Amino acid sequence: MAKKTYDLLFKLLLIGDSGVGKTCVLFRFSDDAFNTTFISTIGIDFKIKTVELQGKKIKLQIWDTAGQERFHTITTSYYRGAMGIMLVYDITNAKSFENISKWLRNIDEHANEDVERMLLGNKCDMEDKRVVPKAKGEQIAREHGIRFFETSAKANINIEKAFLTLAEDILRKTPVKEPNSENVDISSGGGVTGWKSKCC
Amino acid sequence: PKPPPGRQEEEGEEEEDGGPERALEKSPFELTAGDVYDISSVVGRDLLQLSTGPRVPAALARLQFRIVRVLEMLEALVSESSLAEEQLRMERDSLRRELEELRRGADRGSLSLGPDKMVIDLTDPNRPRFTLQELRDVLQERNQLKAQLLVVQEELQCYKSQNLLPPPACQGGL
Repeated sequence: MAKKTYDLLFKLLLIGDSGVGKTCVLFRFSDDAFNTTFISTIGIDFKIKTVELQGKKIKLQIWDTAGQERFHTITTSYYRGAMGIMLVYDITNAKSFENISKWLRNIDEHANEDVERMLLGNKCDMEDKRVVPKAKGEQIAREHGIRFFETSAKANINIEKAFLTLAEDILRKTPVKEPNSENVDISSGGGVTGWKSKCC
Repeated sequence: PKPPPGRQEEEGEEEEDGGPERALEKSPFELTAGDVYDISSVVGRDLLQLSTGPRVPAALARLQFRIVRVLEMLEALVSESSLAEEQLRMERDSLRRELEELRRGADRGSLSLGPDKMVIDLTDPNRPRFTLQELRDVLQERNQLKAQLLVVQEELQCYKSQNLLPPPACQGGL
């Protein structure tokens, strides 16, 4: 049977327009590296990273989706299993910010009701090309009651913090189980009903 | 054009409506084959009079008038028909082009294409060939294999760090 070198398994999902840096954000977190060449993700990919929070080894299975419209029927089928979703936009790309409401609607339609959401404004190292003010990101996050970070995969700003915060938020509403519990139930999302996400 | 002078000897043939000369008064576009025969007989008679008749100058003038009239008719008919021919030729060419386009469209099978359809070039090596379901299956299999690889790598790491101790020493056991 599968051996467990971790206490909990959290499934996370990265979504957002094509080219905003989802794969780079994930690559920075999982491999602490950055690649400038843009390779469009085909459909869906994932990476694993184990972190330790509150004395628990938490295995993060992070799904990286293709932002391109043509993959949407494939990627949306992965929303259901996610316990946390990172919605990424690009602060130098106004369209990617405008599409946030569309992505939020996708979450409403396809994800678990109690999924933990987080908004990331990526590429914050490119201040000279910024077209989305930080305040606008903060505002839309506040309106939807979700956390918000400005990140840079390239300059390694807030990447680890964002993932750890999302994992902590999920951990906080995960029912306490035996540390070496055999089956980490991921299909239910491990949700505690009535838990309210708090604003940043 | 003055009316034909003196009508002496031919009274018998010109009973109703001016007889064969009537044909020369008609619009060229209303001429019938019978009218042409009438004109022919009128001109023939004039020629006969020229060679045998007593009043040559009058017959000559009349014939001249009739020949001019016949030439006018010919001109009108010829220009009319060449105009019609040109129109027909243009129409034919445009119909040919249209047919050619329709044939080519039918060959491509694009005749019935709606706004949601697209044409695939079968000679393009990069043309789309696989369905979304096939892509979904391949991605799922790739990700499953990747997950298995990660598990195996983890176990390997475990063995290595335990200095090749038997598996139960690893956390979680087999």
